[in-house]
Amino acid sequence: MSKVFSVEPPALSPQGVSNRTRRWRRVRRIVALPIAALALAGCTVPTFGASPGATTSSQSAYHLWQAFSIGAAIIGTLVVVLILWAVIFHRRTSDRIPKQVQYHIPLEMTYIIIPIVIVLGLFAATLVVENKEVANPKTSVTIDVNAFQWGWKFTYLGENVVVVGQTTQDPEMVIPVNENVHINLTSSDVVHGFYVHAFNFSRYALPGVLNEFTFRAVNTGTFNGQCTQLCGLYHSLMFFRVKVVSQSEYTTWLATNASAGAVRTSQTANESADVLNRPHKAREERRKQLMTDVLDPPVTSEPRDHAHEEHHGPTGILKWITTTDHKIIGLSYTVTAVIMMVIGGAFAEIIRAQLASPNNTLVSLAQYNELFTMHGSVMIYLFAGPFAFGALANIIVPIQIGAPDMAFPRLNALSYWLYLTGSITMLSGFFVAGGAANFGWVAYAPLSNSINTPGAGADLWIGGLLLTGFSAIFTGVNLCATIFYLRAPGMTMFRMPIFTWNMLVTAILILLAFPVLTAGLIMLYCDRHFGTHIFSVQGGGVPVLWQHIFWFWGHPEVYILALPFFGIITEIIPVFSRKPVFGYKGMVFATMTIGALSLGVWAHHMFTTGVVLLPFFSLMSFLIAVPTGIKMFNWIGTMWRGEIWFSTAMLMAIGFLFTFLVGGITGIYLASPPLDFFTHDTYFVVAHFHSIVMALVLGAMGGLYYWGPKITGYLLNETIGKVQFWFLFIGIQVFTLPDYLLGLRGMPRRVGVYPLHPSWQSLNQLSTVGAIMIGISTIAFMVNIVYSWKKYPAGDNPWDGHTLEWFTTSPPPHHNFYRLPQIRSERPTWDYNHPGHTAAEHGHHPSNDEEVPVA
Amino acid sequence: MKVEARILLSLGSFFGLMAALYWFWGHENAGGVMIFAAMLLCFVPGSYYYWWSRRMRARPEDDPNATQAQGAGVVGAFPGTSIWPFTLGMGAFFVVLALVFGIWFLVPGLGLVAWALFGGTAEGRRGGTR
Repeated sequence: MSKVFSVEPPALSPQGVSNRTRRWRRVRRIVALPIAALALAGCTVPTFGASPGATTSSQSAYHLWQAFSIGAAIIGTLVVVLILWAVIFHRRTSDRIPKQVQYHIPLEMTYIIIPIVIVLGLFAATLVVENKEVANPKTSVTIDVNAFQWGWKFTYLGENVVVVGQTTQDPEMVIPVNENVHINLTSSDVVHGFYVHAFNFSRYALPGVLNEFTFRAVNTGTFNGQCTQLCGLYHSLMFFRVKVVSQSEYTTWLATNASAGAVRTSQTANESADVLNRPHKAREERRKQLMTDVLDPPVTSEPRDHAHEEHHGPTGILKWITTTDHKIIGLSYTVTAVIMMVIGGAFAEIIRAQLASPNNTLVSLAQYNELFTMHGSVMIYLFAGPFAFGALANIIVPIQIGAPDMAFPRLNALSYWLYLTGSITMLSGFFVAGGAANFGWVAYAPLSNSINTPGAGADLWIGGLLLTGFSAIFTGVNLCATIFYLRAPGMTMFRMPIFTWNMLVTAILILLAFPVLTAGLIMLYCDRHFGTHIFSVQGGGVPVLWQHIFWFWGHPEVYILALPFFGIITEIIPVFSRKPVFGYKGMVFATMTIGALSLGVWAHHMFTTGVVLLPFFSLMSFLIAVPTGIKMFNWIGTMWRGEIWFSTAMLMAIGFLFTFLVGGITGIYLASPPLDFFTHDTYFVVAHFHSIVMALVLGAMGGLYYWGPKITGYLLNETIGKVQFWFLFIGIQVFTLPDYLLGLRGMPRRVGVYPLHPSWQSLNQLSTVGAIMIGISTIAFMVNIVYSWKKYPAGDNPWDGHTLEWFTTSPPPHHNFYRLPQIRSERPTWDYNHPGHTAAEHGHHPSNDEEVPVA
Repeated sequence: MKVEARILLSLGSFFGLMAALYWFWGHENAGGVMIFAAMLLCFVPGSYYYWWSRRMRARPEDDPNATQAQGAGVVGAFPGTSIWPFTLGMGAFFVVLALVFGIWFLVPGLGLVAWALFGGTAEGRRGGTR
C-alpha cells in the first residue's frame, strides 16, 4: 500500500493577505480588549472570593489562593475561548467532510509540557507556603483542644482555666493577639473538624491521635468556628468562638477565670436543639415512592424479527430473569441505574429544600443525616458506577470490539442480580427501626461503629455495599476478559475505540480498588458485631486506618466513575464533528496515566488529618491534572475545524466540557494542602465534586441520547432533549457556583441547619433554584421517553457513526453481528462508509487513489 | 497478547516504584501494603499474559492485517439463557440479610447458593441452551 501525501497551500484573499493572518489580527483585537480593561481598572489583585483572614498563616494561604486563582482564570479563559471558538466558527454549515486530521505532534507536545511546568510551579509555591505553616515557632500559649459529641473543651496549659461548652453554647477560646498559640487537638469519641473560617484553616480532631499546630492571630475580634466533619446528630450545631484580645486583656481574662476556679461553661441551652428535631410529614410519602420505584421492572424493547432467527428462549418476565445476553442485562442495568438516579435526586431535592432557609424544620437533623448519607451512597454506589460499567459498557463494549457477547455471560447476569439486590438492601434501611445509615457516604470510623450508629440501617448499608462491590468486581473481570480475548480479527489494542480503552482502564481500577473496600467493610462489620477493635482506639485499633482503606478505594473510584464518561464524550464529539479523535494515542496514554496515578492520590482526602505525607500526595494530585488537561485539549482539537452538528448528545458533550472545566480547575486548588486546609469539608468541596459529577450526569445523558437509538431502535425527541439540556446545564451552574462562594464564606458541609448569616441564605436559595431546574430536566427526560416511545425509528446508523456498533442493526441481533467490515483503523464503520477520508496527520491528507479498505 | 501483557506489566512497575517511594518516604504501613498489593495484582496476570505471548502465534485480533475470515471457528460457548445466576444472586442476597436480621436467613441463603452452584456446573457440562 503506497501513500502519497500533498501539502495544501494556504488560501489567499484577493488583497494578498492570507486568511490565517487576518484571523490572527482578529484574535489579537479580541484578546487586547479585556487586558486593556484590566489594566485600566488598576493593579489590585482581586480576592477571588477568599479573605486574608486573621492569622499570619491565613494570609500566606490567601496569597497562595490568589496566585492559584490568577493561573486558573488565565487557563480557564483560554479553554472557554477555544471551546466557544470551535463551537461558533466550526459549526455545521454543509454536508462536506472536513479534513480528517488526527495528529499534530508539536501541538500535542506543547499541551503536555506546558501543563507539567505549570503544575510543578504550583507545587513549588505550595511547598513554600506549607513549610511556612508547618514550621513550629516558639509558643507562649498552649491550649489543649478536645472535641467531643457535641462540644468543645479548651484547656489552657499551665493556667488553671478550662472552657467547656456543648452544641449551641458556643464555648469561647480566648487568645492573645500577636502571640504564637499552640494547639494540641484531640477527640474523645468520633472524628471532628476544628475549623475557623477567619483563620483559613481546618484540622481533624481524631480519636487516639494528637494533632498539633500553631497560629498567630494578627487582628483582634471574635471569630466563629464550627465542626466540619460529620460527627453525628448535632454536628450542625457544634459551634465555638475564638476571641482574639490584646495581651493585657488576655492576662486579665486568665487571672479572673483562674481565680474563679477552673471550669467555665456557658449556661445550658441544649433544649434549643430538640426544637429542630420535629417529626415531619413527607416521610411516609417518601417510603411509598421508594417502594414503587425500586421494584419497577426494566423496560425491554421488542427485538426485531430477524433476531428470532437464531435464538429461541423464554419470553416475558422469565426472559428477563434467565437472560445472559449482555444487551438485555445492560438494559436492566440502565433502567435500574436511572431509577436510582431519580431516587438519589429526590433526596437531593429534599436536602436543598431543607437548606433554603437557615433553621428550617422540613426534616429533623436525624433525618437530614440519613438523607445526605443515602443521597451520596445511592448516587455513587448505585447510580454513577453501575450506570457506567454495568449499563453502557455492558451493552457497548462487546459490540465496539466485534464480540458476540461478554466473555462470561452468566457471571454478567450474576453481577446484575447482585447489583439489584444490593440496591434493595441498602435502600431498605429506610424501613427499619432507627432509619437508614446516617454516617455520611464515607462511613468514617468510629462514627460508624455500633456504639455511635447502632441499628440495622447501618448494617443494611454495609451489606448492600458488599453485594454491589462484588457485582462491580465481577463486571470488572468480565470487561477485562472480553477486551483481552474477544476482539474481532484486525481489532488490535490500538484500534479499539476510546470508550473501550477507558472501560479497560476502569475495569483494571475496579479490580485494584474494590477488593480493598470489601475488605474494609468486612472489618467494619467485625468491629460492629464480633467484638474486634480494628478501628476503635479503646481496643488498640486505629480509626485513621478506615480512612486509608476507604480512600484507597475512594479515589480510584472517582476515576472509575469519571473515565467511562470521558469515554462517552470521546465517542460523541468525533462523530458529531465528523472527524477522528484528535491525538488518539495521546488520549490512550492519558487514560492509562490517570489510572496509574489514581492509586497514589488517596490521602488528599485526608490532608487535614495531619497524619499523612503531604508533599507526596500533593505532587501526585497535581500531576493527575496533566493527563486530564491533555484530554480536554484533545476534545477541543477534535472539534476544531470540524462540522459540528448540535444534536442533543453533542450539546450534552459540550455542556460536559464547560462543567468539567470548572470542577477540574477547582480540583487543582484542593491538591494544595494549605488551600485544602481552608476549604476542606466546606461547601467549596461540595461544589467542586458536584461540578465533576454533574458533568458526568451530562455525559450520561449524552450517552443515552447517543446510544439509546442503537439499544432500542428508536430515537428520542430532539426538541424535548434540547429543553432538557438547557435546564440541566443552566441548573447545574446555578446549583454549584453559589456553593463555591458558600464554602469560601465558611459554610461547612453536612449541616441541616445553619446560623443566620447575611449571604449564606441567599446563596443557598440560589443553589436550591438550580437543584429545582435539574429536577425539571429529569422530568423532561421522563416525558421524552414517554413521548418518543417507539415513535422515531432510528435506522442502523443515524449519526454517521465511526465504530462497529453502527455497523450492525438497531437493536443488534442476538450475538450482535451478521457480518463485520475489515478493520483497518479505530473507525471501521466510517472507513467503510467514507472510503477516501481516512485519518491523517496534520498537514497531510491521503490522496484519492490511496487504497481503502472494503469489506 | 503482547500489548495486553505490556499494559499490566507497566502499570505494575509504576505501582512498584510508587510503593518503594511511599514506603521509604512516608513510613506509613497501610498505604504501603496496599500499593504493593496493587503491584502484585498487576504482575500476576501480566506475567501470565507475557509468558503466553512468547509461546503463541499472534491471534487474528493482534494482526493489523487480519481478514474477518481468519476469525472463523468457534469463539466460545455463550449460553443463551440460564436461571442459575438469578438463583445464586438471590442466595447471596439472603446470606447478606443473615448478617443483618439473624442467622436463620443463612438456611435459604446457603441452600440457594449450593443449588445454584450444582445447577450451574451441570448446565456448564451440558453446554447450556444456545
